[in-house]
Amino acid sequence: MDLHARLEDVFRQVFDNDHLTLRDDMTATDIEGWDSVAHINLMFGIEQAFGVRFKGNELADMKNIGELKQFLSGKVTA
Amino acid sequence: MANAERNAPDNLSRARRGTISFTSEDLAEFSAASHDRNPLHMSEDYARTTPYGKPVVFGILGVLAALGQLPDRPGRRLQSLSVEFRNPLAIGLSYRVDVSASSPDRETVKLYDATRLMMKATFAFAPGEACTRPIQNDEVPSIAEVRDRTKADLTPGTRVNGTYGPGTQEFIQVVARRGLSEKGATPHQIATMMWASFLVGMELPGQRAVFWRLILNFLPELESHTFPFDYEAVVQELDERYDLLHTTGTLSSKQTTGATAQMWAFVRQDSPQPSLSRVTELLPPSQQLSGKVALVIGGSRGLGAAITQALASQGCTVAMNYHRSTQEADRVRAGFGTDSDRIMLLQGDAADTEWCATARQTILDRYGKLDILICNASPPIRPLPFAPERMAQFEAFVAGSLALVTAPMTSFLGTLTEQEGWSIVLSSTFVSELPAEFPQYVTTKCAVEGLVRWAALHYPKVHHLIVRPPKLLTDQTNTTVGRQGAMKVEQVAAALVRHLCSAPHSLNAEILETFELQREPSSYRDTCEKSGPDARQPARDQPIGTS
Repeated sequence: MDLHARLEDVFRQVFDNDHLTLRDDMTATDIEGWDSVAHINLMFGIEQAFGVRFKGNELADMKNIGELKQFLSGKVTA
Repeated sequence: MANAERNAPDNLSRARRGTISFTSEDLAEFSAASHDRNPLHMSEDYARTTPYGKPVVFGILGVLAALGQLPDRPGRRLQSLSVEFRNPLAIGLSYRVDVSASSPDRETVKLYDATRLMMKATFAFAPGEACTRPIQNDEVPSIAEVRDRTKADLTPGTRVNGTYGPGTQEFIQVVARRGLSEKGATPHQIATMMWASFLVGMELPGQRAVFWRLILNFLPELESHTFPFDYEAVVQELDERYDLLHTTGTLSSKQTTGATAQMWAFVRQDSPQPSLSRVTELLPPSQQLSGKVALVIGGSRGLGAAITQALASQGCTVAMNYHRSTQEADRVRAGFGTDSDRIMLLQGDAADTEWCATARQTILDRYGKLDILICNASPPIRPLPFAPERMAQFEAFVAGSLALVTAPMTSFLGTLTEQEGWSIVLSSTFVSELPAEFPQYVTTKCAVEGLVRWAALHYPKVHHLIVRPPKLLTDQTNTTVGRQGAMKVEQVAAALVRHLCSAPHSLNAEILETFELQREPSSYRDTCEKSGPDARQPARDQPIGTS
């Protein structure tokens, strides 16, 4: 499973939406239910799935899904 | 029916729906059964000082209720349980239950507050007869009082151990009430779930816990254990970013392990207390408001307490209204030492016009006037889905919250007109940020701002001010996520009072939404300046891409 699909799977779990489809230009406002509680679940979900660790509130500072993917691709070895 | 379930696994794959709810009696019964007496669940007074406002349902009670929604499962025994506690469950609300099975032996139960996922529990079963040996325990757990461990007490490697067994009679009642006897979970397994509640709520971390995740694995040996079980738990990690505690634990009997657990819980921080010294650092004491009389609605906690402190520090006499928080009100007043007579405590429900009439008379009898009214109080603000099944809660919040402004304003605008005084109403930056989870709060604050604009037109001799602070660090926001990016209440209080000292009379309702304050030199005494035009508010805690 490529990075995009793995990330999409995490998002689907966290946002309880099996039909959620990620696009690189998506932000929090594009995803229903992305509140502060979902945010923390997402952060830990990504960390667990990809074996990475965000510094502080690093995830919140990212511009969109594309930037998150770029971050992950730099950290995760295929 | 039981045979049909056993022989027709396809039945299990059909999604099933229902509803569940919880009463205070359910919580009391579960507490007696589990020996988990965490005050977040059991004390109205304690819960009021937390972001939840009211006691919340034990997470494991939610799990047991979820288990009760599964079909009877003869010939199967629970092997493992995995739970995500997404949001706390409240007493008295009806939650939607969705049950789905990914295989005949793996079922997931989700609890929803309308559209909002509150809890997800996955139960995995395996062939095996569920032991129906009745539970009998005469021992009480080795700790009876809830521990209050701070982050400093929770270093990796911290180890606790003791003995555990549920309260027998109450355990039987819980099992009967939730219909758990045929669900494939043995009494020993249900007792293990209760132990997890006990361990997190009473021991690691104890009082400050907000249960987040649980994984339980049950071994066949558990069924031969006798009560009380021995338990041991070890802190694996405290994630400082979000104060998230990861603990592992085992239950055993005669040195044979019967179950293993992984538990994650947030460790809540101390309730933030408004500080007079922080107020006076930002706004050095003066007598600029000497001779003025103010009424602060909701003045004993959070921003209201800081406003009370800021006003009194400038020589103002403050009638401080509070509803239930007597201890906090006494503490604010006592903070002024020999000047504590500047603060008069007025206990009561400010949403009640009769109380307002009495308070008005009390203030006029004692001081002869009122110069400043500050409407700050609010009911607890919890995320609320905008859904038909939550309209009663939506309407109740809006009505209750609005009344905390309308009742004082109707009662005091006449008096304020006589003094050409101030009517100040606390709103929020949420009126422009429009967060998805608080439609009731946004609606109320927009309505309140509309009322202030109306009042500015029809009570032109009164100064009308809308204050729009960003997210503040108060009891209401004191969660792991809520604290992030929250502004200290003293900063808003100091800016508000400084504005009040200096602003010229405007015929329109003014809006105060910048709170940047330069610390004044200690010689600063006689002037109050409006906050600077370049002031910037810190960003509200916002997820990716919205800031």
